[in-house]
Amino acid sequence: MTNPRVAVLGTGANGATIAADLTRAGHDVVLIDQWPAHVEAMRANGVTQVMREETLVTKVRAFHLCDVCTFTEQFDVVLLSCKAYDTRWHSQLIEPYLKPEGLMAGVQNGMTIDAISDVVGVHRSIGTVIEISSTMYDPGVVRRDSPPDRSWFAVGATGADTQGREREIASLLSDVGRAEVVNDIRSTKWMKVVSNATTLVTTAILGLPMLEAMHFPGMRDVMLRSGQEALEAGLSQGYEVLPIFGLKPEDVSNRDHLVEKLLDTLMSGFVLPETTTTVLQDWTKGRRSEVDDLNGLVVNQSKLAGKDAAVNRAIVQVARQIERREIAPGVQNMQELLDQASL
Amino acid sequence: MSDLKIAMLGTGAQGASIGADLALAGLDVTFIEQWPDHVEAIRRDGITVNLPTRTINAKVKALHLCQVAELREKFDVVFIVTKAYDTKWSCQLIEPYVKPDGLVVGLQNGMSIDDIASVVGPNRTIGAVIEIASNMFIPGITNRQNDHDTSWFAVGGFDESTQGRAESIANILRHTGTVEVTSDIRSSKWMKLVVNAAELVPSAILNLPLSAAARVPGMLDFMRHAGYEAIRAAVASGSRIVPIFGMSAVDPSHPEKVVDDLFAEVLKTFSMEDTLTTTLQDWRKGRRGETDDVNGYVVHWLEKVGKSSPVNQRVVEVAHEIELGKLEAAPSNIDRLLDVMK
Repeated sequence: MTNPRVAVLGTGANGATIAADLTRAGHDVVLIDQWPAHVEAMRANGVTQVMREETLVTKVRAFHLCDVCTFTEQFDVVLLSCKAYDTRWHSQLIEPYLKPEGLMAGVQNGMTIDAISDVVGVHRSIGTVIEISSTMYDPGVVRRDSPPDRSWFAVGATGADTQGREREIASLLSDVGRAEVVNDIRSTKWMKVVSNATTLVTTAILGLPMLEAMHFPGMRDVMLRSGQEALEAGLSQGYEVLPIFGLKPEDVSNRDHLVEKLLDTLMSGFVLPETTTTVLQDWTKGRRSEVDDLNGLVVNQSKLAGKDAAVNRAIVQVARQIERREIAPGVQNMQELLDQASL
Repeated sequence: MSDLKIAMLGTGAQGASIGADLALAGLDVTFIEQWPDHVEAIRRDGITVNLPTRTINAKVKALHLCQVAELREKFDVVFIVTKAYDTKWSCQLIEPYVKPDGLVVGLQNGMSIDDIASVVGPNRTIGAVIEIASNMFIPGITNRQNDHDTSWFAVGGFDESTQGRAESIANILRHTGTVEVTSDIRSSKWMKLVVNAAELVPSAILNLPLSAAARVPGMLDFMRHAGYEAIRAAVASGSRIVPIFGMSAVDPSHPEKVVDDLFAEVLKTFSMEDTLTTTLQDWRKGRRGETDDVNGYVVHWLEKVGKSSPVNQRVVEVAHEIELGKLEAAPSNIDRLLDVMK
């Protein structure tokens, strides 16, 4: 594909970062997002990426969801960077605008490959793992805590049909960060679920930035147990243990310390002291989080293997209480979390 | 009944006018809408519905699509009042917020019941036919050309699992028009599709109001023939020829007469001199029309049984050219349409 027409569907903190970098690299990119004020801000002022090192402002072409039905040309590539729970309807919305030989890549957390393939077909589906730390609270403005040299992607075919086409996505994403092509994207995505199960909802429950939460008494232990349950749930499904975040195979050969290795790699390489997780950002905005697609998935997959993922179950329960607004995120939830998990 | 939580997903000209009636009847209604300016206008000024002899205004809750992820409660009833081509993703968006024993009702053109059932399950799917003429070009203001006395709906269960619950939906919709409950909603929806195949896209291709289009020499005949093909497709798909719009019994042995009568009823009751079809409204807003869901569906079903549908095929072809910007909707397109009748 030379000069592919690219749509980034879902331009929150990560999607806007990707779209802005691609636009600056000279690609033909449109941004589509469900938050009206954000689209208006991007139209007026472009995407502002605030990084420690520099602040970049990029003029972009941004569209509301209701503009999609005015498009008359189809896309070669759709990068889907919405929440996992929005995957199916976003895929369905954009499907008529993906070329018959186009590619759609879910640049998101969670095991979303099948939801995308169900809608656009395996022959147009590519899986990815994304690791970028970023936040967005004001329309049009991203605070990007991991600049390009500390942003990482894995890209893999989801079936024989797209094998050999991974580079088409990886070469795009290499303008945003380091992009590796992997053979087994499902296992690689599960390794990201392991990391997500360790860090995202757990730290958000305390209402703190990730690093601060990890250092709260008792929390690191809960996080590692949660990650360990996720790892075991993956192994029971037949997923391989594979390196992510740019680690080497030998870095993940010791399974007993794997979760810890992932956690420390993430915290030292991709996260700033003020970085909050996507889950805490959602809760702060009054939105639901991806807990069902992450810890909830671990609980369900463990159950299928005849195991009880007690820590993940507790995390889901406390998260649901927060989402029902019965309790607020905060350090006072630590005891509740320990009690629910019988720790 | 009044404690039901109801969502109108899609609050364009039709959804907004129906939703306003439900809100004024005291029901708990939430608007969910993809057009940001419309949501903002409704929040500021309420929803205004201009009817032929009166204007109403209702204060309602209105959400942007991005706010669905903020909802804490699930809905008992969701009315999907989107374009047919937006059905599936709209259902996928709202499905997590439909109660396990809730109902999703497609108040739209096209055979959207199958899309709805595929997402929320047959046991939560109610089909409906809606016949109201309306339009909207300004956020927050819808123009409804049929007041309650001439607005007509049919509702029915997707299958037996929901047939017994169709009456509860009919009771809600009786706040906005006449409602019939049918045990064969698929056939009723097909009959509406037959009329739609004749009127919506063909008249839009001429860039004329429906009634003016029907007066263009040769056009009424063309539109009727689009309907004749459609009723053959309906029968080929296994549907029955049934009366809609509150008309008396029809004679299935004369399908073309049925089409002529239905179309005459639309022109008489559901169309004013200035009524633009939904497709022409779409095109004037730069949006795609429902061609594939209406005329394309007819072509699809007749193809399946090895029959051709030259009239509907021509409609699809010309409509696609218009949507791709290769052709403008204009009265001069009449020759392109009539050409196929030779």
